[in-house]
Amino acid sequence: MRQALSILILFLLSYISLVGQEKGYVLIPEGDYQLGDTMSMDNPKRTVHIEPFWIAQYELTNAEFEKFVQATGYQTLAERYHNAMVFEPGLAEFRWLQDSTAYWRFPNGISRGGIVDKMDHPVTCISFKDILAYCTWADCRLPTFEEWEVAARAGSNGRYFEGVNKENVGQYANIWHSRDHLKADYSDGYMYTSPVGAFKPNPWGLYDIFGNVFEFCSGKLNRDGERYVAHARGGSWWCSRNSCSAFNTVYIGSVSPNASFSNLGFRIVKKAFTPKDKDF
Amino acid sequence: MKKMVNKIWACWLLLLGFISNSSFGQEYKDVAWNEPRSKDSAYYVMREKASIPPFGLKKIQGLVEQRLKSLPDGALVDYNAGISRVDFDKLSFEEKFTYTMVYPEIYSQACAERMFVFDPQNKIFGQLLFVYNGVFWSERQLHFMKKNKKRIIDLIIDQAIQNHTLGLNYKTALIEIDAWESIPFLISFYQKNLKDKDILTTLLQLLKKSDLVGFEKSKIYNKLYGENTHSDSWVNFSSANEEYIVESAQALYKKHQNQ
Repeated sequence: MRQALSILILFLLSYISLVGQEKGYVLIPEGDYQLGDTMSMDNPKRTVHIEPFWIAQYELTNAEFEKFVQATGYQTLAERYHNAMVFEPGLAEFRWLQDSTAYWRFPNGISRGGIVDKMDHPVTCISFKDILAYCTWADCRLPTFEEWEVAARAGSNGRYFEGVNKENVGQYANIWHSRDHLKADYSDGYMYTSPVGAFKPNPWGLYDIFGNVFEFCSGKLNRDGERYVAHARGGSWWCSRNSCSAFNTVYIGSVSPNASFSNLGFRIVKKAFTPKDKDF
Repeated sequence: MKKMVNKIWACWLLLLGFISNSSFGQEYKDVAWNEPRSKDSAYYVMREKASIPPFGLKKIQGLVEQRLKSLPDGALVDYNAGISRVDFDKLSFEEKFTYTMVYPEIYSQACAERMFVFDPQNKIFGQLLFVYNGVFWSERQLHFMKKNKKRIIDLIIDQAIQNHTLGLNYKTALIEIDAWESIPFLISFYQKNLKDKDILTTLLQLLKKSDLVGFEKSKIYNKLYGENTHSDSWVNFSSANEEYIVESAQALYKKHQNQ
């Protein structure tokens, strides 16, 4: 009898651990969540109701984006207009270079190397509009501001998920550790992007929520007015404690929807939550 | 004798830097403050406001519209790569200035976190706010401003005096071109516009760009640009801090003049 009970408990525990994690997605449960910060100009403190949704555990990789390009022949804006922005050590804070050779296969320009041995890194040097094209093809979508923040906080009400603070965030995030950007920073093993999942996940199993690449979200800020502005969250490999510290759950970055930077990427959400999602 | 005087100046500034900071603050610790007050929001609006030069404004707007219409992809409505070199070269100096102040040509990331700081009117920030949301001056525009530094400074001074305001883009331009020559103007303009503490920030940024003896060792430098600072770091406004910044800037101006 005791043995049967143990097997039953083991079975139940296995089932519970499966619920909410399917094929690289995490189910974020429906509920009322506290978001924002009283001091934020863009993201005020408030409570929001969120419907359940499935969000990818990892940022979308070069390998996954390549499938889209191979299937459709799609050319990104950076390829068409040669207007991508790249980074190299030695630049002043917040400065980037325009490099006509840069696009997602050479995210910091041809002279700084390609992605051949980085197919498991997040895709970068793509614009918000390129991402919308990908999402149409892959039948997925971007998370909203609120969805991203709920997933990032993983039940915490603070600027970071539980266990993280500004000092130890480097265990969970590929960020820039130097005082400025005048010299290359390999102190965590990576100057630019790292493979997805190389750092510790948040309590809900999402990797690289902070750092690695800024993740585009859907949404509009009051200050956008009539302008079409794209927004991204979570900070990136470029972000340091002394510059923007954008690797937190409050910050919402702004960039042109046509701009391609080597620290901008994305994480997808399943297009709709349907009963089918439960059938596994 | 001159060296002796300079040394005395440097010692005095160093001393002032150490004694003038009795009222430093810590970021994000005003926890009792729940909602931004309207006067705080208004101050941020003032900090963000850009100046629009009047020279050939309509002509430039027309050129930019023409440029946008000529783009092959209608979806790129905000593609801001700039007007052609021919059109740019045809503009008068003043029109180029207007174009540069109104239409930054390359993309940028508005990376700094936009957090309210309690009572910003009574704080001196280490950095100005980001001048443009998502765009910045291209190499061509920066080159134009640096090459014509003196005339740019004169235009900015002239416009600021006429309009009684020094917009964020003008302040940023002065820092970009390292306009130490504008220090006497900035100090006198600040004295007539005491509400605009970002003029002190502009002076601080010019000091930061310089190698003025003592500034990097001052407490104010440490609090605004030292090891544990970030883009939103500030010190509380006080007469002592104000005096230190103004006197340091004056010393920097004198140093350049002596050179």
